[in-house]
Amino acid sequence: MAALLPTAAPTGETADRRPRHPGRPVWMGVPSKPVQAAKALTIAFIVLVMLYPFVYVIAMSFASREAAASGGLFPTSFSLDAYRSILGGDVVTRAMLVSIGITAVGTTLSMIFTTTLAYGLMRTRDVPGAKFVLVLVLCTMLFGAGIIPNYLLVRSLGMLDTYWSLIIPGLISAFNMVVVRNFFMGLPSELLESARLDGASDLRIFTQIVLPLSKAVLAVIALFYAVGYWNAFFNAMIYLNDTTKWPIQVVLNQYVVQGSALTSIQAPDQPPPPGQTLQMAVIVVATIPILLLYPFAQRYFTKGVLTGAIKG
Amino acid sequence: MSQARINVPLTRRGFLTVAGATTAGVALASCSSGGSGGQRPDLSESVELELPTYVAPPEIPGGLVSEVEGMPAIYTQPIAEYTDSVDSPPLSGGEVSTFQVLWGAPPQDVPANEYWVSLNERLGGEFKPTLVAFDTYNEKMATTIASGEIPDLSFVQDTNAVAAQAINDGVFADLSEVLAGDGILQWPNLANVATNAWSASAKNGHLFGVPNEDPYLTNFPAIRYDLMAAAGYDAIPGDADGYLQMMSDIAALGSVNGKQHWGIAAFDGKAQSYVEWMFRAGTTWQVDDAGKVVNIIETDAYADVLTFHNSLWNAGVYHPDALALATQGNQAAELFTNGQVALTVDSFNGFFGAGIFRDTVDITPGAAPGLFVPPAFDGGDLLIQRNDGYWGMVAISAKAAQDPERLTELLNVINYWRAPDGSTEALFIHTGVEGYNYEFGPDNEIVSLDDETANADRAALQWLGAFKSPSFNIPANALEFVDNFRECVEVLTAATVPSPVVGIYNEAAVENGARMSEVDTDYRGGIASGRMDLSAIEEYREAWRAAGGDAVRDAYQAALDEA
Amino acid sequence: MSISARTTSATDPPGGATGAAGPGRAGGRGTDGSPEAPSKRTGGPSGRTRGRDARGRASVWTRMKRERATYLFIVPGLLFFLLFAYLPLAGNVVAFQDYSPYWGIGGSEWVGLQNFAAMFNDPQFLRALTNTLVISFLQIVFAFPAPILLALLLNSLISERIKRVVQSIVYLPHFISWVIVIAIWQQVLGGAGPVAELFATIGIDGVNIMSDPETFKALVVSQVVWKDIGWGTIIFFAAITAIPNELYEAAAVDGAGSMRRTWHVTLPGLVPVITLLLILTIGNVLTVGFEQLLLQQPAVGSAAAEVLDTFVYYRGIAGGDWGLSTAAGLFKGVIGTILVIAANKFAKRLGTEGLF
Repeated sequence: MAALLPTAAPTGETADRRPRHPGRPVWMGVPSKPVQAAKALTIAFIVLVMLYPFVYVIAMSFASREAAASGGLFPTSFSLDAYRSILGGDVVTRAMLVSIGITAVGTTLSMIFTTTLAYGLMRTRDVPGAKFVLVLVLCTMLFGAGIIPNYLLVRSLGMLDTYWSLIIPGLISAFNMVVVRNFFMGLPSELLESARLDGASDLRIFTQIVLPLSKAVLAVIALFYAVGYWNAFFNAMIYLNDTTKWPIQVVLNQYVVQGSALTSIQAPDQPPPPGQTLQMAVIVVATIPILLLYPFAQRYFTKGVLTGAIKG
Repeated sequence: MSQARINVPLTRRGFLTVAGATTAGVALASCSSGGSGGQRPDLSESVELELPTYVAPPEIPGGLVSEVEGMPAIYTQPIAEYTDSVDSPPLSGGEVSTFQVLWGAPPQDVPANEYWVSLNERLGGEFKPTLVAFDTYNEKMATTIASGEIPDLSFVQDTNAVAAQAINDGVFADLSEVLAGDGILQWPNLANVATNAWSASAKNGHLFGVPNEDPYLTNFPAIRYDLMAAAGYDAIPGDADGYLQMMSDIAALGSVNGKQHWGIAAFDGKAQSYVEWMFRAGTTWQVDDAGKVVNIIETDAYADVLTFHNSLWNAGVYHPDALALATQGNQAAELFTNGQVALTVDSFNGFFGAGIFRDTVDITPGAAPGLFVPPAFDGGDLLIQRNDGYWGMVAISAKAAQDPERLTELLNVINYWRAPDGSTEALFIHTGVEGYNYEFGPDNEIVSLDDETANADRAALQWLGAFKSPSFNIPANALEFVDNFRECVEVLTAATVPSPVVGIYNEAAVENGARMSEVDTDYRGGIASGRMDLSAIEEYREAWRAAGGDAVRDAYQAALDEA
Repeated sequence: MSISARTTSATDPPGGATGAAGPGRAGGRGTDGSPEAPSKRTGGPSGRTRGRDARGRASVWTRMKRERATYLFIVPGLLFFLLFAYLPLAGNVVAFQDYSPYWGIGGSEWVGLQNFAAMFNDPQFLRALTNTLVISFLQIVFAFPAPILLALLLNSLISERIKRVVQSIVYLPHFISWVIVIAIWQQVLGGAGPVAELFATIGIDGVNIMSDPETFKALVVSQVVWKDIGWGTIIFFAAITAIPNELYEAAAVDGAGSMRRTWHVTLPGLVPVITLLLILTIGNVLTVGFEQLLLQQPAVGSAAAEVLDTFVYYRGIAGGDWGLSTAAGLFKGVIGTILVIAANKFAKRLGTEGLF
């Protein structure tokens, strides 16, 4: 925290206010009352609008059959039936465990491969071929292969019906790599140069200088990867025949999309779609775990990492 | 109708003599299987098909059998005694792999899944399904085919382009010979498949699967009679004007039982078709007096249909979001059960299986839902398009079928699935395991244990895609709706006529189906809701022709001229 | 549903970087015990450029030998992209085929440019392309800056706790699938919802924001803003933390108020991130929310809602025409490449680092 505080308070006025907002740099000042009110209103509005669907989904998931059928904007009863029903067998719980495992392992591996590649491609001017590799990687953002070639590749690598098929094919996202690389390039180059001159190895520079100084972006990218792995559904649908290996999003799709939307066909003997309360309960169960990650990531990027740098 | 002779060239791509592919493609080409399985069937010449012999399924005492052709039997009482229709397990060990649709939650694994355990026992081998969400059916089907590892049995929805192409490419075995004539009697339950289902599902004289039989009519309109009464009507008016007036009056009731309320929730295909019945617009494809093939949208009656929808719309009968609700089938159905909608169109499965009627009454006291027969616009007769007789089929992998013994086993499995009403096998397939899914009540009636997990376990595995001949099994808690249901379905079924192009395999229809239906949705909804003027109907027809309508017509015309 | 599984779209998480073009940066010291770094003044030639000058004339081979350790960092990633992106990419040759999954590339017929011709000659193609471009343009103008503004607003909040709580709330909608988002929007803004009721009470009947083709494109953009504005701010928060406090102090000493500090310090600090994201967004102008539009097309009609991806869906994917869908993908890729190269050039001319 000390690093956040300036060496001298610029004005007396802000210095007085310091105790009221510990951690807030004194130079920031306090806006006038009307500005504060306007901000508060704007934010209250945004929060309300953003929160509504979530409150709705949660309220529906706890609604009784009758209350859900009331036709109002919010059901106002409390019933655990939907949760009892979806958590009754081991299908949902198992799918959750699969998703947690995929997300944890996948994010870890992705971070390792993404950051190393980003580091390797940092100095395109010094390293012959690096620029070429960078362009090669960028092109993958614009051109994609179809479903079938990807499937045949995964199959020929023997990864069908394995959890690896959900991790390896998307191991490095070109987008995330480029973001990390650009953050790395924003690090003070003197720092890296002098470490190099002191004889530090690349591995040492990477692990002891570059990574620790990039916590904010690493947290963001880890969040992106984690959310990506958690929400991925299509690959699982295509690569996994064994339903016991299905992650939660595939199960969620069965409950939510199947009952509506793009599949408005009528098959004879088609079982009835799950009720709305059931759908909402699955959404809640499938979404809450990944939402819990954000506060962890927040810890790294609301705290300035590079601030408090030494002045020359 | 015993012999179908159809003459449409099936292959659009001839046999290929491309030598080395390209350098880039080699790696992937070598992954795919193509040649190893066999060869493309030569379907370009249509052949005489000897249709399989038909044997009526056994009658069960207590069933309400109708005089009306195409009307399935209705069962209202518990079946006193279940008999075996299959004397030995279909498989002799080993396993059977399938490719089938999963409509709901995935199943638990063996051994927690008692239905699966029991299924393995009954089949005499291990049941290994690939369960596919319907929204990824195309992709999953394509990748499975590309891998070359075709499951033994596949549900093939042959109006679907990917599946139809697979049939063309020789992925599935031609069953015409083995099932021809009395050959089918080796599988008695398959012999229960109605002849029209076989001929409709044949491709230029070749049978590529056991069709999933459909009754003559699947969807029926239902109305809340209590709301009719509230609006001052004790019977359905006799013509279109009267009907429009009644629906307007019902919609004008506004709030009923404290709930906001509308005439019709969704402007979907089901809600559209019954108005076509009213105006006798005819079948989707029809042959005019000059022998020319025309589509329903090109008829004058069709303009009346759209005008009528627009009148309903302007009278506030449709929910304001009816166009959007058409893509949210679940929500529209729930609006009806919630008691917020006066009219819905659904299937037996919806009304009785999913319990729409029961729920509507339970949720809204005083609700009186029931089927109704809509009036013809002039008070005359209705004209209803009959179903094609099947909805998809179960096909057998061409590779697996190369071994005749294996082919017999696989047909045994489908035979098991098609066990008729009153058999222990049908009881198992459709109801589950005693003590897990249901138990018997004092009168031998089936009482569901209401265990969602157990029911999901059954529903997930059960949908192989070929089932017993259609029948209506009324659940014990819905007996009050039977009389009305039976009366209306009989009248409606009797008014059905077959499509003149049924059984003609038309590749253009399959390829352009999605585009054409996009145009349909666009203009139908547009004109009905008033977003477009009725004069846009010419533009509609033009766009539809350009989207493949003419190509499809030409193919039908050629086939009919040939015959 | 999965048309753009591997590409970033306008709604994808924006990422960013504080590139070298950011405000002059002092040498740093990690807050978590990373090694002490020698402090150097900024403003002089950066280490990188000096490095190049010193060694730049060495032969390629010598440089490669000197940097061999760096290649150890590059090779695993490179192998990944070669195997999992470029090998399957070869499958795009089916754009020139009447492709059959069963018979594979070797067994399918070559049809030359027929798939491309079928796409470009389709009477609906131009309409789909126009709608796509209009929606993309509106998104770049309105949806792209929205998270930046929100990030700046939240950044100016006093209470750290409120800031965090608000952050955690605004990013929630990102996690709700389009099927649900549209159903909920419809409940509120549809013809039977409270908004329509409100209008009815003041005498305007029949308001249905969800099915008005005239305003549909604005609706699409609002939905995107609503769904992803919070998610989009995340990367900007990260970028803001990388702006040295000294710059704010200096500005404050110079008497800059809160607004001016935002304008002269925070915003310039975000320029590299914004540039990067904007280039990537521009490369994706031909991709707009497929599922979002497919689901809403019946309500407003395809004249308003047909975009390139739904166009391809009805013809290629639902029609089983793999050749056509692949051809469409190639078309989008080529256009995207041209735009990215142009945008990158432009960005460099403006003096920013650009993408590559």
